[in-house]
Amino acid sequence: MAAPDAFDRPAREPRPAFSVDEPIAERLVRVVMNLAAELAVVRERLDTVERLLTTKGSVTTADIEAFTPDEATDAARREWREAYVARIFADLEAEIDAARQQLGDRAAD
Amino acid sequence: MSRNPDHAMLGRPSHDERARLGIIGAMKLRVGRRLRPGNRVYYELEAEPRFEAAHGHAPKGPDEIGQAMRPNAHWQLWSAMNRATQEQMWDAVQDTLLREAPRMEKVYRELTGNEKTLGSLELDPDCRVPEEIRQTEIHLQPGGYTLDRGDDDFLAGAFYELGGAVYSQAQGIGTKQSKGEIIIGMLEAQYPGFKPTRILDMACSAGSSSTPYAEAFPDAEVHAIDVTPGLLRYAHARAEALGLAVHFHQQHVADTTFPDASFDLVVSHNAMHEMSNDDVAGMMGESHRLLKPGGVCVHQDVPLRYDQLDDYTQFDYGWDHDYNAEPFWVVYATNDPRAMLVDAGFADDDVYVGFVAQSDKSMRWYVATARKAD
Repeated sequence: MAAPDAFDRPAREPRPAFSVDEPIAERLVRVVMNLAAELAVVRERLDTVERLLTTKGSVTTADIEAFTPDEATDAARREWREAYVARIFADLEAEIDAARQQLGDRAAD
Repeated sequence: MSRNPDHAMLGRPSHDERARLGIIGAMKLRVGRRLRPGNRVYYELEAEPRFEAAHGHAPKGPDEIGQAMRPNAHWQLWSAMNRATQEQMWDAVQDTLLREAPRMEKVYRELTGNEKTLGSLELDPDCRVPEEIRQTEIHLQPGGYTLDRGDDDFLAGAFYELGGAVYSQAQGIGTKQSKGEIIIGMLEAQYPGFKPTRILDMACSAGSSSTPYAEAFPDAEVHAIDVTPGLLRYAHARAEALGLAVHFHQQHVADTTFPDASFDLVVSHNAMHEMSNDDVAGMMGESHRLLKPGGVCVHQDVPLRYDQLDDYTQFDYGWDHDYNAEPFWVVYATNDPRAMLVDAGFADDDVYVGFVAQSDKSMRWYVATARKAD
C-alpha cells in the first residue's frame, strides 16, 4: 500500500468519526478490510501459479506478471471473490436477516 | 467503443494490483447491496422507536432520521466499512498510477504537442474554479480535481478515469456502452438524421464522454471544457491515445468564450451533481446562448431525484454528501433543471426531462434536454 504522502498530495481532509465511543473499532475496521483484501490478492496469485503450473509445468515472476486471465478464469475469479466476501461478512449478514425476521414478526403481531 | 476502452494513457495495474482492485470492488458491492439495506431494518427496529420514546414523535424528514440513526451501532459499523472501501479503492488506484507514472509521462509526451496531435489543449490560469472543487477531494479522489504539480501533470485525470472504471464495475453498471453512446442513441431516436457539425462537452472531466461524440460524428468539430488543468491534460492525451480529435479548453460552464450560436449540440455528463445551482443555471444559460437555432442540449447525470424518494432513502443517499465528499449531492437531487432550461430561454414545449436506460438495462440515467427554437 502506498503511503498517503507518496506524492505531493495536499493534506487529506480529516476522516469522519462515525462512533464517538469506539474510535478504535473504526480503525480496526480499516485494518481488517485491508487484511481481507491482501489475503484475496495472495489467493489470486496462488491461483495464477496453479494455472501456470498446470499448463506449463513451470512458473517465473515474469510469467505471473504476464498472465492474462481468459473469460472463464475471470468469471471463476469473480465467483470466488463473491463467495469469499460473503464468508467474511456472514455474521453481519446473518444478524441483519435475524433483525429483519424480528421486524416482520413484530409487524405480524 | 465500450465505456472503458483500453488506451495507452490508462494506468495498467500489475497482477497483484488488479487482484486488489478486484477484491475491493467485490467488497464495495457487498457492502452496498447486502449490508446497506440492513441499516433500514435497524432503523425501524431500533432507531425509530428510540427516537420516538425520547421525543414523543417519530423522526420527521431526513435530518431527524439522521439524528435517530447516527448513534446506531450497525449504521456506524456500516459507515466505517463503506468509507473504508472508498479509501481502499483510491489507495489501490494510486499504487498503480504512481508506479505507472514514468510510462504514462512518456506516452503523454509522444501524443501531445507535436505535428501528429489531432486535437488541442488550451489552459487558462485565470479560469474560475468553484470554491468547493478547490477545497474538496471530490468522492475522496486523492488530491481532488485541482491536483496540479506543475508542467504536464495529468494525475488528476488519471485518477478520475481509473477510479471511475473500478467504481462502475463494482456497482455493476454495464461497461459495454459509454454514457456518450447512450445519449447519441437517444438523440438518434428523438431526432432522426440529426448530424451536428460542432459539439461542446461541458465539464468534461477526463474526457471519457467527449470522445464518443468525436467517434460517432467524425466530420464534426468537438470541443470540451472543464476548470482544472490536471483533468484537461489527461483528457487531451486520452483522446489522442484513442486517435480522436477533441479540442479541450480550461473554461467555466457558466462563462465560456465561444461565440453565440456556434454549436449544434451541447452536452454534459455526470456534471450537474458536482455544481452549485447557480452554476447549473449558468450552464443552461450558456447552452442556450451557444446553440444555433434548432440545436439541442443534453445534460445527463445520476438518477437521483429526492422528490421520488421517501424520507429514509433521502437520509440514506445523503451519506455521500456527508461522508464521501459530494458537496452538491443534495443540491443536485433537489434542483429543477426544467425550470432552469426555461429560464435560460428554451420554450417549455422544447424541454424534456426524464430518464434514459442503458441498452443492457443495468442502469438508467437522468437527462435534461432542450431544443432551441428555429
